[in-house]
Amino acid sequence: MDDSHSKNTHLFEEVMHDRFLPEPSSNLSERIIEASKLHKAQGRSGIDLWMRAFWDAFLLPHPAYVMAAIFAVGLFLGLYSEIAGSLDAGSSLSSLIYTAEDVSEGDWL
Amino acid sequence: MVDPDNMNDEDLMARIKRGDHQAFAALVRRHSTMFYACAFRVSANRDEAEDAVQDAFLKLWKNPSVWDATRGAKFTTWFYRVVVNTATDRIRKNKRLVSGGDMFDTMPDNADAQDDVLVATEEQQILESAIQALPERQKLALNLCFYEGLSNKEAADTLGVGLKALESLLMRAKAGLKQILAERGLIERDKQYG
Repeated sequence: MDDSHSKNTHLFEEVMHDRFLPEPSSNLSERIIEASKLHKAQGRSGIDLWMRAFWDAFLLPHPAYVMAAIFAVGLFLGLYSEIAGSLDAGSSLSSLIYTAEDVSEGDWL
Repeated sequence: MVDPDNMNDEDLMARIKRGDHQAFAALVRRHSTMFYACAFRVSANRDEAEDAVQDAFLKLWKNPSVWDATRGAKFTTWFYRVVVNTATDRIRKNKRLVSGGDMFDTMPDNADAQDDVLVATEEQQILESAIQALPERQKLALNLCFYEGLSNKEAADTLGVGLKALESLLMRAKAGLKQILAERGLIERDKQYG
């Protein structure tokens, strides 16, 4: 059985190695090189490369952007409710405070 | 100045990033045939494979910063992934255009493609359709390890899976192929397959 198994394995390897692969066109490399001449590569100048590297230094992974956005929204909502609350509190407080204008002269006398 | 032909791939990439077209040409001449073979094994069509290799190299030329040398991967290992993904995307697009049918049905209708099929022997056609019938990741694992000669570690990196997962993919691919080839009478049926 071992003998037939190893023979079969050998046969399998032979079939696998016999896989069909046609030659590429003789000018494949030149075709690619010629096509590349039509395309302008990005970011080649020194300043451009420097700017790209500078910008990349500030890049954050996507989860960090999401966290930052959540934090910003939370901060905004927190500040908004605090400001709105303080405005309401300010108006109700002002109704309790008497100032000189609220008191007529007659009341003093 | 160093001749680009005498430079290694990673140094050529550093020059390509600075816009050196000679370095790009050297890289293309050095590897286009090897990556064509890789693309052909994904698409089973010469024109499609050539277009996939061209697309992959043009992507690299247009935006060489996608190659990050600091990650420590060999250029060829990384570029295998680019070529495999490009060839796979092209197949998916073709399949969307021509839904249903097997691999050879989805190929562009041209004389060259027909010749390719005719030149292959019946045995090779059976093998090709058996390989193409494998699940995509099993097929890629088999192509990279068996035909492209990548080490298991390199193939695992290319596919973005762990070593154990790659070994499992390979094992299942070979078992599936043996079964199909035995059913088609190319090899004897192993006892373990009944």
